[in-house]
Order: sequence, then structure tokens, then C-alpha cells
Amino acid sequence: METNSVDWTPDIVIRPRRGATWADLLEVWNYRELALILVLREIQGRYRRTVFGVSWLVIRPALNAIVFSVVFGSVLKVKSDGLPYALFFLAGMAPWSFFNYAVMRAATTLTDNVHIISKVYFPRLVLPIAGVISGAVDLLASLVVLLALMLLYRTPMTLNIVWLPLILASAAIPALAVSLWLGVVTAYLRDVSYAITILLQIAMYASPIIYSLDAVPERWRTLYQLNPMVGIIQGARWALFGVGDAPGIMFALSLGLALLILVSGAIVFQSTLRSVIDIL
Amino acid sequence: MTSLVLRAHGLGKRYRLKHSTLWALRDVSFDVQRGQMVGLIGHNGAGKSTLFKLLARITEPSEGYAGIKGRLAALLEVGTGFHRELTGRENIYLNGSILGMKKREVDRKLDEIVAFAEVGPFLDSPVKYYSSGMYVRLAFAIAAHVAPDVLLIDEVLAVGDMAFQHKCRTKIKSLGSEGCTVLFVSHDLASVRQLCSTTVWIHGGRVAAIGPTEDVVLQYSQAMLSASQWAGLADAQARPGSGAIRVTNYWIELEDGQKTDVLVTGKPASFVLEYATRAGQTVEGVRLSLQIQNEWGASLLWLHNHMLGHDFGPLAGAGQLRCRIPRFPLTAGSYDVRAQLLLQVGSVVADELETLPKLNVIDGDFYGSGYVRRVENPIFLVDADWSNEAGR
Repeated sequence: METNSVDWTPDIVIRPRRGATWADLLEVWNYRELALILVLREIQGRYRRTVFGVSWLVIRPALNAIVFSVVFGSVLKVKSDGLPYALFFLAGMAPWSFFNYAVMRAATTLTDNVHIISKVYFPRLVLPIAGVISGAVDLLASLVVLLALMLLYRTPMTLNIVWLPLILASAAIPALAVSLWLGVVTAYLRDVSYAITILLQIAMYASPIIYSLDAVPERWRTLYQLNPMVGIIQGARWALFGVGDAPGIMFALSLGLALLILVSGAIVFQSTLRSVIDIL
Repeated sequence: MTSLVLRAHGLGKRYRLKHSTLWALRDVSFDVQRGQMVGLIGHNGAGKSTLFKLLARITEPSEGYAGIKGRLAALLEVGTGFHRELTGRENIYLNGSILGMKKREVDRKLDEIVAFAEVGPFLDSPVKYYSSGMYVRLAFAIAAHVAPDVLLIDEVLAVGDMAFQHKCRTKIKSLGSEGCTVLFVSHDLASVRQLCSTTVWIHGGRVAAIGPTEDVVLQYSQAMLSASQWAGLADAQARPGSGAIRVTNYWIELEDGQKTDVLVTGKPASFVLEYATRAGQTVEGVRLSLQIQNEWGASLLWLHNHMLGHDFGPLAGAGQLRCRIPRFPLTAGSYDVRAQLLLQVGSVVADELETLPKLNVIDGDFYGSGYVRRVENPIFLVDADWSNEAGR
């Protein structure tokens, strides 16, 4: 028995590990079908047992646009880069709702899926990734409302629009970055999931969604633009309506920073949450 | 040819509690070959489930190493990895993908899984409406049909009904013959003995014994019972009887002379009583009545030396009286033993033992036919033959 074990190479190796390796990433890729199923379930599950069902995806941003344009556009007369306030607002809200939803999911994804986590193995990284991807549905729904409004207002489109998908997709980087860190923190400190709505509200006001970037004082602007959502929202308005500057160096810098947070988050997530079930 | 599919080496798991650390598992090492059926037995909390969690990669070990060749599927407790809001069908796909199957593979196996689990009419209902039996059936069906190289089964079969349990056992056996390796945790020793050739006994987080199932189960059962030790026969003078001859010691022996607390149905057993006569006295015509009763006091066996045609002859000093049963006929259970020593003259009671230690029996293959567990659960087994004739 000992003789055939000298060159024995098992497919699954189980031992205490630290850190993360490329093999972990490859493993996540091998579980892409699981991620897809989790995403579909997420979407179906959200509006199950509601009267309006999936149409809530569209109703919500539409209602949001109406409320915010009345309050901030008509009553408070917030400057909106010369655009109808509803359009201005929705262009910011679309990438934000993506980010917002992904982060909300990340805070509870481990506890929500404890049934599965406690019974079967799969790379736990799949969970926040699936959470972020399912947030893309909100993004698409907001875009549908936005495009309908653009038709209504007869807003001319520019060629900039070809950049829109790329700019919006880049919101996945900060979304996943925050999701990963949040996943780790909430696993140890359940309180954080209660603070999450208020933290997201603060982050929303720290992004140019209801107001324009011009409203931010000049001397704070560099710091302000380190928030990657600033570049993404400004970029979306530039691509859709041709207002403001094309995404530039600050956008690249903020995304690079977010990417750094994402990679470190992935490593920390992977190395601390292999035994996550011990603390859930 | 055998080949290694699973190896655990020095595996350990430490939990940090508030003020201390607890080793749920320590120094666990064993090898499993392809197609082997391995039973895991031990107390609740001995570490069996922790071991399974490590092997299934639900959690990581704190020390040591384990390697597995091929695909592993695990059935850990009830409702393995199901999402309650999803339908049976959706859960089949979810679990299939978790176990490493492609969608097309699941498509191909879907009908087989549904048929085995007998959940056809409920396939498109959320599993939260399933009964616990349906849960287990579906979980087992999925795990058994993903063609795993190693299958871990933790106690789940205790939930299903009798017919399904039988179906699962048959399936497990056929998986084994197809080269699938099965690790099986159960408190039902009869199931372990029927299914597993090798058994690992885990005690206090460590491997207490490993080897052929029969040996390990016997060791385990004996250890279980030694906890409830018998006070002994020291109180001889307090017992009823004239005391012309007294029993000084009592035990049960296996065929090899080993003392035991546990007998196996169908295996030889000897009841041994040591005696001592009153100093300088010789006693003749001693009758020994040995009775075995069930827990309601019904007499099941009466072993009387005269009835069996044996005369002890004159007894003086000290010695042993023994009664050997070539194939023990009682099935699994706990029985009371009573012994009485009588003198022939006037049937005077010389000694009476009402408080002998309980006799514990575990099921065995009485007929040598491979059946250990008996569905109808008879109390007795006797020698018998079947024959048949055609015609008439």
C-alpha cells in the first residue's frame, strides 16, 4: 500500500492554507455555471411573490426619477449640466443602482447561502461575484427607463455612446472590491450589515448623482474624484449626452485604486473565508 | 488491483472558543482504496461529522493533510445543499453544478435522478414544501448519480422510510462494485456491518480503532458498555441461599477465551461461573439454572444443566462451571441474566444471583447467508432449511 503512494497525486488536496493562488482564480472560472445559476436564482427570487413581479425593476428607477426630479429639479432647482433633471439624475442613478445592489447583496450573501455553504464545497468567491453580476440587471433596467426618457425629451445622441457599455461595466470593479471586503467584515462583525444602508446613503451623496460635479469646490475636487463612481457617473453623462469631459486621468487613477482594493479583497476573502462556516 | 483514492494524514481541526481551544479532531490518519466501503462509528460529538466536513472541504483543517483522487460528493446531514426557495428541478441543477457537473450532464441524468428520488409530481415545487423524506431521497439521488469517485454519507439514511433505505443500500452496494468509494457514518451498527468491509472508530477526536468491520464494531460495543460497569459479586453474604456453594465470579467468553460484554448473533458464546464451596465441604448434585430474560421479564432461554443432561458431579473447593452455546440465537438487544445454584436435596437454594450484568447482543450473520439486518426484527433465530419441489 505504501509503495503506490510514493508518486500518488491526488486531485483534491486538503490542508491548512494561507493566501490565495492563481489556481483559486482558475477554480472560480471552473464554477462559472454555478455562478450563472446563482445569478438567475437571485433575479427570479427577488420579485417572486410580488404582484408586479419583474416589472419592479423598471418601476423603481422610474418612480425614483419622478421623485428626485420634483424635489431636486423643480423645488430645489439643483443645477444639472443644462439637462432635464430626470435625465441627468437617471444617468447617475443607473451605475449607482448597480453598485448599490451589488454591495447590499454582498453584505448578506454568506448568511443567505448558509444552507449551501454548510453542506457543499465550492469556491466561496463565486458568491460575491454572482451578487455583482445580478446587480447588472438593475443597471439594464435603469438604462431602459433612461432611453425611454431620452426619446420622450428628444435628446440627441452622440457617437460617444459607443463608450457607454465599457464605462458602465467598469462599475463592476468598485462594486466587487467593496463586496469582497464587506463579505469578510460582515462574516466577523454582523453589525456591519445593519449599518450598510446608511453607509451606502453617505456614499451616494459623495457621488455626483443628484448634483453636478461643478458643485464640488475646486480644491476638494481631486480628492473627490478618487471615488471611482465619480468618474463612472461623469463618464456615463459624457457618453449619453456629450456633456462634460471625456473620462481622463483621474478616472483611470480612481479605477486603478479600486482594482487594487479588489485584488487585496479577493486575497483576504479567499484566505479567511475558506473556513467561513466555523464563524457563521 | 487496489489503488489509493483517499488518504488522511495527521488531520486535525481546532476550534477557538471564548476562553479556550478545542480539538474536535486530532491525528487522524487512514488510507482508503478504490471501491472500498468504509464505516465510521463513534459517539455523538466524537468528531465523525467534523472529519466529513474537512473531507468535503466545508471547512479547512488546522493541521495535517488529506488527499482525494477524483470527484467527491457528500451527503452531510439532511437537506444537503438545497436552496429552500428553489424547486426540486432547479436544485438538481444547482447541486449538479456544485458537484462539478456540466448542464448537459445533468440534462442526461435528470430522469434517472427524478425516478430514483420518487419526487416526479413535485419536481417543480419549491423544496421547502418537501417532506424530510423527500429531501433525503432527492439529495441521495443527486449525489449517487453524479458518478462520484468518493461518496460521503452522514447518517442521512436514517430518515427515509424502510423501502427507500433498502433502495439506498442496494444503490450504495452497486456504486461500490462500479469502483465508487463510500465513507459511511451511522449509528446503526447493523447497517455499517452489512455495508462496510472496513470500519474506523473515532473517539474523542482520534482514531480509536481501524480495521475489519467485525473487529472494530465489537471493540466499540465493548467500550460502550464498559462504561456501565457491573459492581461485581463481592456482596455474596447478602444474597439469599444457604451458601453451601457460592458463585464468586461471572463472565461471558468468546470462542478464543476473550472475556466480553457483547455477544454477536450466530457466534459461539460461553457463560462462565466461578464457584467456591464452603470450607471443607463437598457438594453433590448441584443444579445450575441460567435464565436469560428480555426487558419485560419474559424468559427467553433457560439453560439448566440437568435439562441439558449434564451432572457436575461432586464439587469441592473452587472451580468453573461453563455453558457453551455454539451459535447464539438471540438478536440485537439488551437482556437480563439470572442464575440460581440449587442443591439436589430438597431443591435448597444455595445461591441466587439476580443482578448479573446485562447481556448485550449485536446482530450477526446467523445463517452465513450475508443477512445481518433483519427487517422483521425477530427475537430468535433457529436452524432451519428451505427446499422446494416442482409440480404437484
